Amino acid sequence: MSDVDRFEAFVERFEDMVFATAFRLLGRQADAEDVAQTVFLRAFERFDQIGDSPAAAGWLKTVTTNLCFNHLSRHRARWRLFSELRRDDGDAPEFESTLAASAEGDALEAAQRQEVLVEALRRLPDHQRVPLVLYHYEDRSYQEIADLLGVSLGKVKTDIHRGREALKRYIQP
Amino acid sequence: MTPEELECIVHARLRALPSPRAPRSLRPAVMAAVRARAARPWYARPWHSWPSRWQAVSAVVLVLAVVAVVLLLPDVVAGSGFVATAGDRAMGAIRVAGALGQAAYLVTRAVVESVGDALTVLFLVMLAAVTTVAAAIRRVALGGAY
Repeated sequence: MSDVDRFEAFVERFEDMVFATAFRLLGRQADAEDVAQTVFLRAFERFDQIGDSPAAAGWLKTVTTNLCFNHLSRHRARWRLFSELRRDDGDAPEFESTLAASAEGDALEAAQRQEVLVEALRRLPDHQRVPLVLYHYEDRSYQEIADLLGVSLGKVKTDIHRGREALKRYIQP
Repeated sequence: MTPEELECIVHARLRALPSPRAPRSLRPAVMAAVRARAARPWYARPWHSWPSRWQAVSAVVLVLAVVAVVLLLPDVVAGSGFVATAGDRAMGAIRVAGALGQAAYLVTRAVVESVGDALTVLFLVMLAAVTTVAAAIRRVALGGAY
């Protein structure tokens, strides 16, 4: 089996994990796909070192996270990324009303509820979604998140709390 | 609902969400790029993936090039002193700067970009600084003769 064939098996094994990490952090499928592709190209350059390593998953997650941070800071100035500005999506108000109506419907299926929650998470402002995802999905502590993002511990706690409050209305008890 | 309760509920609900699946287009795109990359000759790949003997050779060549620049720069600069007019001097300086810039560009493109290693960049920046200082000292020691 050639290196390229072995690498294809490697991609198949980790593509969902890498894409999921990127998608949760970035909130946009096209951007997550771009980041995931870059991650795997970097992995290919070091495939002789990480191919059979048990640390491959950790390496991929770290590189994915770092590339997502780079992506976010490249497309928005860092001061704006972690400010209190809302996302400037034009369809946000319409989405808010749709979500509210959907979340209150008694006949909503579990899958639809999950879809609504995924969309609500995706629509959070970057400065809330990124630390929230790092805390709840990547099991990072508040302090680790503050260090990673280069912001104060208090700001991380505040942003995560506000993110949870924003999601609360979409979570059925 | 207390903040602690909210944290627990949000955590449970988020972790219960299905994990996003990679789009079908991802793997073919990655593998197409990988096959294109694998088809390139070794010298067109990133430096850290070169064969180790060529890495060693290129490192030695780089060091020799830097040493040559350190040793020859004063003579090159002094050589431009033979020109008579201020305009010719300026043109000479521009040619020297252009040649050095081209050399720096080639070295950067061949090694620095492919290495992508901050330490290597730092090393080259420090070498450039040492080169500049050495050239300045030579000029001062020669009384600014050129």
